[in-house]
Amino acid sequence: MAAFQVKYRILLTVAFASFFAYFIWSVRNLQYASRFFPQLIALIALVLAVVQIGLEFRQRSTLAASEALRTDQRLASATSSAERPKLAGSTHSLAGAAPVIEEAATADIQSSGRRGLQFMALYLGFIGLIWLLGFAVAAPLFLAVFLVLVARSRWSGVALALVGYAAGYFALTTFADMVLPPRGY
Amino acid sequence: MIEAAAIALGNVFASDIMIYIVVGVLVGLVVGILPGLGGVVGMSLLLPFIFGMEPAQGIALLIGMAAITQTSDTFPSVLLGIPGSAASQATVLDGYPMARQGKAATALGAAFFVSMVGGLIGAVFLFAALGAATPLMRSLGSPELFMLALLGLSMVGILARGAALAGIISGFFGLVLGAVGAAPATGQARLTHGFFYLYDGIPFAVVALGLFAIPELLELLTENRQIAKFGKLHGSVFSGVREALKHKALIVRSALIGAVIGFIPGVGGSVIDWITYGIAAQTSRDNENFGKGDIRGVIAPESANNAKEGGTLIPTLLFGIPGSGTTAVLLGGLLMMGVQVGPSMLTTNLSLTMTIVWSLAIANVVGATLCMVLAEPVSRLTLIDPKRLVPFLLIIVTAAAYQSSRNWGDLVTLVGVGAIGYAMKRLDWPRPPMLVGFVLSISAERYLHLSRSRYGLDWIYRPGVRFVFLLICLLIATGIYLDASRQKRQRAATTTVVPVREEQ
Repeated sequence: MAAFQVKYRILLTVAFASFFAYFIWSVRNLQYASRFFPQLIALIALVLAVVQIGLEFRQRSTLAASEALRTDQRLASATSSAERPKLAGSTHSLAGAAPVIEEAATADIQSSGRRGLQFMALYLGFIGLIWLLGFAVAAPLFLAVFLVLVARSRWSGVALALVGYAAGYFALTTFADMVLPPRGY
Repeated sequence: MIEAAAIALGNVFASDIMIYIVVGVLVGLVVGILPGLGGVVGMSLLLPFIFGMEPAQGIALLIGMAAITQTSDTFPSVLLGIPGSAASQATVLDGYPMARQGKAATALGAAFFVSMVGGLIGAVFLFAALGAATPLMRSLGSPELFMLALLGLSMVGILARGAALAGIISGFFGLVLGAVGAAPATGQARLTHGFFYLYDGIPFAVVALGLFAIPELLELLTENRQIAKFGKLHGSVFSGVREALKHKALIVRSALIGAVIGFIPGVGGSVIDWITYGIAAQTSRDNENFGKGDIRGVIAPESANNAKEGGTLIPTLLFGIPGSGTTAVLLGGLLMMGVQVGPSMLTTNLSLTMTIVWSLAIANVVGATLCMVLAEPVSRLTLIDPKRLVPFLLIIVTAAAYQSSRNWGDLVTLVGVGAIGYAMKRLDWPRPPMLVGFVLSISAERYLHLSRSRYGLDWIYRPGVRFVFLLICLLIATGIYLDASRQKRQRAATTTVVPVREEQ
């Protein structure tokens, strides 16, 4: 795991710890029988989360130190004196194959994280569309837009998908009595 | 009793009961395949149709459906990494990695075969335990049930291999999340912020879908690679059956554990698969592949979750205490048909009880056979371009989550838990422990409260409590010992390899 990932891990653990602390605070005025169990488990969880944060900070500093050591080694192994200033001034200049692979992997993780957030935003858009138009309209619209813009499907494929959706919708609402989300307002 | 069983078998084959079993199985197949829907939804769908039916026909329809959802819910668990229902959560851990390795058909074949065997063992257990169940039921109180919930929670450490502390925090997060809503002891609202939706607690299906379905689907899109990573399928249903047959003892052991735990009302079917998975991982010598696509990680939970149906029917039929959500709806159905459950199920209604046993056994065989036939064509789903498959799945997941309470809160929670699940997946936080904690939260709190209010601190001295406590200690100790010996073997292997390299 790279140092930047540990940074996000720490953020997630802090979020968990904050949730546990908030939970303990929020149930403080309840009857003893209502708060005993959740307060007990949230308290234990908070202590564990704090320990985890400490461990992650230590891991981050270890990783940062080893990354700095690797940079120094690369500087030292640079053969020509002309290369030295270039390496010292940029963390992206590479002296060997291993760092190239390492940095490529880091870049890949970061870009796949960005893509994940984009798709999450797309899904949020779908939920927003359901809120605006209701499931019956939003779902085929989302399907068509996704297939055309993201999957680059042909119109015949999109039409086939919409027919399949209509058949599934009819079957689920008619025979299975499934209720689908209406407009949210 | 054997004579009654023989007569009931004759009736099942001679009358139209078989047709009702098959119809129930077909409905169960569809309900199981759709992620997020489980036996309760299937039962609720069928209830309106049993009005005016003969009790034997109605029971055949309901049991046929209930028996098979535990089998067909393996499809989404293995192929998509989404728990088809509460009963197939643990199957995801090894089933999905197998699908990613292109071995979906093998995983499905093994799962369906052991489901059938487990279901039959459950039916035999139901038949055998009917007479002896009463004294055992009376010996179980809230302290023993609390300890069983702890037994389930002790699996958290096993499910968090390599990230023990993060796994335990994840389990605690699930416990706290499960405590949102009305307190079982007083009904006071906790962390609801005035939202009526949260008063009944966060629905399980929404948490399971958010935690597993949304992150897996987003991951498929970001990787832009088919589910079967290398674009090829290996193995077949029969190779899965052959693999399963190599682990006969595991199948029988898991099925028996499933049936026995299913027999105990209140702990719930949701935790059986975790317990059997944990025991299988904890007691296997070479357990380093668990969680990476080990067939035993599919066999143990799948065998248990079908066997538990036989167990859950015992308290339902003899005492009117439903052992799971599905049997609660079944109980309603029996009352609708005028069947009075209780001790009369062993006297005046014995033929009906035997019809239930046979329906359960036959439904398992028919359902598993159907699933095996479907397994290979359905496993081709893993070869479809994710950008064409995922939008459909997102629509299904959204619609399925909304069925939990048919409230907009379901969708908001789905997005929220989905975001947490995705962050956990990206940052290597173990997610299964969170689901275990969530599932057990309310039952653990309820039984602890009952134990404390009824027995004070004396409950810890009860023999049943001591027995389960010893079992927990034994499991943890076995796990530590096996882990230590595995590490020792690995170290030994490393030290023997190094000199060879040096010589070269």
